[in-house]
Amino acid sequence: MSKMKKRNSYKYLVALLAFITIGCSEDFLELSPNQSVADFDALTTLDDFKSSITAAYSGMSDADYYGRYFLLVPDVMSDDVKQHPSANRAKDYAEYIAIVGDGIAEEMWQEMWEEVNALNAIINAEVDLPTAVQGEADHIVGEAYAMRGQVYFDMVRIFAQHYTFTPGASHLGVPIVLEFDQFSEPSRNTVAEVYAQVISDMNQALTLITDDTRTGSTSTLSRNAVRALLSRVYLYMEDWANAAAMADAVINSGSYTLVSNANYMSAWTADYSSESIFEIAMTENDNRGSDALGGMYIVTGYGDYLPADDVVSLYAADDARLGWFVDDPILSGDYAPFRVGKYPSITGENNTKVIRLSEVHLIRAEANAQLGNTASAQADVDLIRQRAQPSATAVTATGQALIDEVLLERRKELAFEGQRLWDLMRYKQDIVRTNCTAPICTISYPNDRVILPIPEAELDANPNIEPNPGY
Amino acid sequence: MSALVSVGLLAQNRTVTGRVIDETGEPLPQASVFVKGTTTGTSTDLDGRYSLNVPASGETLVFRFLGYTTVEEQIGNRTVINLTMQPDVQSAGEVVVVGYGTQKAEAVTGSVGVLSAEKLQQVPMASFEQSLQGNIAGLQATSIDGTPGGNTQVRIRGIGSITASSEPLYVIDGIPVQAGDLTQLNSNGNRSGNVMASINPNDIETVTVLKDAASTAIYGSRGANGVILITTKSGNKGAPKITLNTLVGFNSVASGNILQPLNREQYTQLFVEGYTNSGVDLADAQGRLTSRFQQLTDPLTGQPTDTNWLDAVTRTGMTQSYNLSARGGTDRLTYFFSGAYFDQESHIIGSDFERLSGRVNLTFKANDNITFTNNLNVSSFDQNGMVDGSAWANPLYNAYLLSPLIPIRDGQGRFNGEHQNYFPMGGNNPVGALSGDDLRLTQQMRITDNFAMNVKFANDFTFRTQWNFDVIQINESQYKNRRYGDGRNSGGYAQVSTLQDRNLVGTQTLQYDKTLNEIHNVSVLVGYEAQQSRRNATSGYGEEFPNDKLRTLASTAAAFAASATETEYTFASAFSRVNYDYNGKYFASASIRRDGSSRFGRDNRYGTFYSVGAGWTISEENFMEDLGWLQYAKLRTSYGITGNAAIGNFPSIGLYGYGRDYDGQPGGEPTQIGNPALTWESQSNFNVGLDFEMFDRLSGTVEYFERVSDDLILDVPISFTTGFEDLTQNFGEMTNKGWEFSLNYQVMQTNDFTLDLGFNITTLENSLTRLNEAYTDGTKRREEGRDFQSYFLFGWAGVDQTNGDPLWYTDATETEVTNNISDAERYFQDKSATPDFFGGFNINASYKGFSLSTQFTFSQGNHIYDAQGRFIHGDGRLTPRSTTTWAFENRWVPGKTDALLPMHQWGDRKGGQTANSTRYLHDASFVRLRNLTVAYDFKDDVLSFLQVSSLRAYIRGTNLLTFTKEDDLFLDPEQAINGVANALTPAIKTFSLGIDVGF
Repeated sequence: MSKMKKRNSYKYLVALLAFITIGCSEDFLELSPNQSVADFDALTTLDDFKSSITAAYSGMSDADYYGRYFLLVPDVMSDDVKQHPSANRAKDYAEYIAIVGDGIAEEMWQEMWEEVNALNAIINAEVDLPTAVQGEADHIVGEAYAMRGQVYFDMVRIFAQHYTFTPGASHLGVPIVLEFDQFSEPSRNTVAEVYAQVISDMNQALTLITDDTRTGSTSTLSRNAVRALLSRVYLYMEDWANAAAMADAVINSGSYTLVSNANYMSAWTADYSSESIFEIAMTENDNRGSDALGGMYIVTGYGDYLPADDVVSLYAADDARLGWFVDDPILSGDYAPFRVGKYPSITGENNTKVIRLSEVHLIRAEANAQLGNTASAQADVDLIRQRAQPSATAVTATGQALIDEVLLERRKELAFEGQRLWDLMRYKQDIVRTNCTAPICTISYPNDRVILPIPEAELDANPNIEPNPGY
Repeated sequence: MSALVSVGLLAQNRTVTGRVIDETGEPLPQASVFVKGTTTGTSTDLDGRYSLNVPASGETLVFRFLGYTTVEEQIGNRTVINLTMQPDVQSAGEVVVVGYGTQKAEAVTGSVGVLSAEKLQQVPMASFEQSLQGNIAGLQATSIDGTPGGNTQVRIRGIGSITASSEPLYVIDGIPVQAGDLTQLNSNGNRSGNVMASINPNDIETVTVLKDAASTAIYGSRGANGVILITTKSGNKGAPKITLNTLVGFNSVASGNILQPLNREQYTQLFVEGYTNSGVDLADAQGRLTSRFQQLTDPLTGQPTDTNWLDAVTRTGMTQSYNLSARGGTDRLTYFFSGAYFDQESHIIGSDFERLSGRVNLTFKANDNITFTNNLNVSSFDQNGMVDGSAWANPLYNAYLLSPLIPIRDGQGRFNGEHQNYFPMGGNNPVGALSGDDLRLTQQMRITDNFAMNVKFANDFTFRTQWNFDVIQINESQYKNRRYGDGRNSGGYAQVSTLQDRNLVGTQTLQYDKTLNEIHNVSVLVGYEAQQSRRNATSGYGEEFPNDKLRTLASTAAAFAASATETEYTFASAFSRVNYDYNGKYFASASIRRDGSSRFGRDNRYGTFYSVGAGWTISEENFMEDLGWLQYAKLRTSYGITGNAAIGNFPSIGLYGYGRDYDGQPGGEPTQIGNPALTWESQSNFNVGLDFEMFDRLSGTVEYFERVSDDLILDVPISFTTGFEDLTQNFGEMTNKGWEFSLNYQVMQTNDFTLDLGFNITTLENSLTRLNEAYTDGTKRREEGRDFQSYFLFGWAGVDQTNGDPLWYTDATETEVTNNISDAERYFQDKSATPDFFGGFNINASYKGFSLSTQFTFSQGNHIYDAQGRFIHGDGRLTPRSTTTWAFENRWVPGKTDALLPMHQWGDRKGGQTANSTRYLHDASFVRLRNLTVAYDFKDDVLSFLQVSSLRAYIRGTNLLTFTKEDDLFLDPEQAINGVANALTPAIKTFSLGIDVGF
């Protein structure tokens, strides 16, 4: 009997040991995530570069950036847009009562800095790729430089006063961060320094990027797209010669043609027209839906904002651009009668046009007018004006009157594309809303609140950063 | 054997001897035998024998042994008194389930609370956690979402963590299991689903709550927030006992004071006023009403439209619960079977919960040494729910905001969607959405199997191997119709999600129990446990349905999206526990556990956790023996270190995340900064308590606890210029301390009538003792030295009665007011969401066959914040949304001097509804009659007539009465632990009838 017991005990002992060894290996505790990649593994091949730059474009399409607010907020602060009584989003900016804790400022700031960080990672990646793909990789790095320049340009115009606010642009801009540092707590560089960085980045991009886009559509950058963006930067700096030169290079490249009068309206509902230089793609599967820019204007969306008569009355009766304005019989009184139909897609599938050939012509016109190249400037204005309104008489103004004509055409052509506020500020103009539905109808120059506040969360986390006055 | 020599003069001393045995015939050594009223006494020897020299005056011998009923014997003329002692049913042999085993109640050195089956039987709630509320000292349980099957938040002795979970660990029949809300689409931020709703509460034998380190350290890195042990019913030897429980009840809203929407007249008046207050002239304002509202006459009835949206979405819901179980066994095999059906409709239409569950618990004794057990539970449970917060589709939000001038049905008899053309909120129609036009369904299935083999060998050893398999499958479907609401611009859309969570746990333990010299009792436990948990999820989306009849993705034509994710984690641990007691008087215990997990950073993969505990049964000491009024007193204390591993599966690695797609190409970007040192949060826990039983009728516990949580994982905000919002580090420290006091008073116990009172109260004081930097988080501010849940808000100063402007205090001194919010600053109100104290009291009585059981729960000092208040009571900021009658009656109008709310103005610019202001803060101190049951147990005559062995009929009400400290509190006082009320289904009041039959 006891022998049996002993044998049984051994059996149990063996079983015990067997059980214990299960799950004992070190590998049992070493797991890798399935939806993410460890950062040291993430930028090692050409495909990694592609997915990284794609993510950067995706960030630009975010509702806090080119997806909606970056175009909407400056427009509602200007005199082109009036608010509907049910306006809820960005209302505080339209009424100039935003506070430092405002959500839009924080999300926009955060989105832009996420972009900078992602682009820095691509630019700073030290990877040896095979020579066969080096060209493609260079193109991608070039796109990253150009985008970083554009993001800093966007950041400095919405969070800081315009370039000529002080002589030498010595007023507060935004911090410049070119490398990842988790302990970074930078103070703000001057606007001059930021613009210098923008120019440097875009010029660096021009050496790396090719004439063709990487993807075959203008949803990604090409060399001419970078030149176009750069011409706008020079314009804002009042560097007329360089602005004209860059614009010339884009126009003379022959890669783009102006949309004709007959096709003008359809070019707005379609994507990638002949004059598209750089657009942010919104596809069936990847769009901002009801959060898109269009939703802010159309009656089937939120319909928060309406076109002010200030801008509607500028168009002649046979101007093709009047097709943007859709009659809405429910509107009454000061709100009547139109809605903006420039972004008609209910599902948010209209691409956001960042820059197009028409604007490049107007940039060239403005630069030339400022430089005194009267004939050239008049020709460009006529080109844009008569494309929309064939019966328009040719421009004969000169000097300051010519500059005013250029700016007028610029306002008419680029309305609701997030440009009006900057154009007013560059010329140190007051904002005067004649057809006004907000409590504030005149915003005189200079004004602390034509720019967004440095967000409260940033002020709390970063002791070195200076807040924007007036908030 | 003591020899007492005395020189007796008057009376005769005599020697009395005898033997004391227990009910099984075994001798009882060390039993105490003494002469009543004197200090003369002795103890029985190893054989149970004693010899005592009794003085002449001695008349009575008292026999006492811990765990047995004290016996008094008149000596009379006897010189030999033998005795058989019976176990004391009340306290002796009461065995408490503890981590990885059981222990006698009196031997426990830790802090443990127990809830037994009768409190869980047939409660008209989908899951058992809510029954813990008010019954266990130190434990707060609130159902954040009153929807049937919703999640419950449980906190044991306060909040232990800032960013990691503060939920306790749930263990069923010895195996840690998945708890909480795992849904992907329908979860409302993890509030509305609950995988623990898979468990039929009628299957539970006991719930043991482990609160301090001595009891939880054996769970190592998962014990910091306390552990809840659930033991399911097992069979017992005997004839099969079959029970049928049935319950039918009705549900409505528990809180008496809910807000009411406006009617047609009120809304019309308000609409016009909102414009005239902005300077629009009266005729113009009235014109705007008629030009905006295109359905002023109800298209179906022809009457003026006057919709009460709240009425239309509310109903009286019904609850049904049927449970059939069989229990019994032979010498070799014992069994417990159960099958149950539970169905509960919420008082909001379209919202309900249904469960079918089956259980088989078997224990098979193969021979004297080997026993097998297998507990298998299969449960399928479905829930139809609603969305919460400020989503336009939330019926408890849009019921107030939709104008009464919008009809429910359109001219064709369908649910109205026309208002999308003239009213904001996208044409949402809550009645239509909840009556079948939309779908929001969660179907869950859970299979849990525990298999164990116990082997006794070499006399004192027990080896146990236990394997658990827990699989949860969740299918969610959402459909938004094509005509109105969120799906109107996409031709309708559908979303589905499938999730499977598989957990495998293997635990091997070896226990050694030995009694040395009959006095020293030692028990040693050594164990090893490995756990692997895998989760796979897929989801799909599509738009453009051809008609309203089809709802699955196969019918969609556009905008397809599909996604799949996988994640997993593992734990491997070794643990040990030693328990020692000296003669049942002095107790000591120690435990240690070493945990390794895939969740911890590479540099900190393993952690060691331990505890020590001591106990002293003071009432067993000689100097206490004469205190007749004190039956039992035990002092115990413990200290230990435990951990919290609920930190996410890959928190320490720097990561790139994907899904940032553009123009059809995949994109990935940095999403997480790496920190290889990141690891679990640790906690040191001190506890001291006194358990007592006095006057034969009063028993209770007094305890003091102190939990210091350290290395708290904090997302420390960093400059956005880094490209990130915050950096995750182990940094902070938080302390929770307080007192727990529980008392049970047996007022009367006679054959016919019994009356019992119970009471428990916990005081809680929470403080953030170390924080890198104070930060504001929504309505609260986390600052060193303050309660973690301190509110930090703008001080609302009411309304300027001369012009209807909103007013705020400029700062914390509250001396100056301003009507411009930019001139005001936020400050601490010295109010927090954490209660100062909470608890419960109950009264149980029985008379002949009737029994009455009442339970109250209470809480004082908890404040709640109405997160949707700024929209529902928005002073007209959002044109032209409606509001409540409370706002209508209390708004400022010229001439009113007691207005609570500012003037109503469409597009209101005064900012009265700015977020984070005390205007939306409420004191939610309350007392609630949580449970009232009146039952009758039928007597033998009826039983034999019906040929059943027991029959009980009862009426039960839950949440019948609520008293709140704040008058007119229009929110339910029981909201989430963090105090934020997010327009979820409020608590349900039920009234039900039940019949339990035993065969």
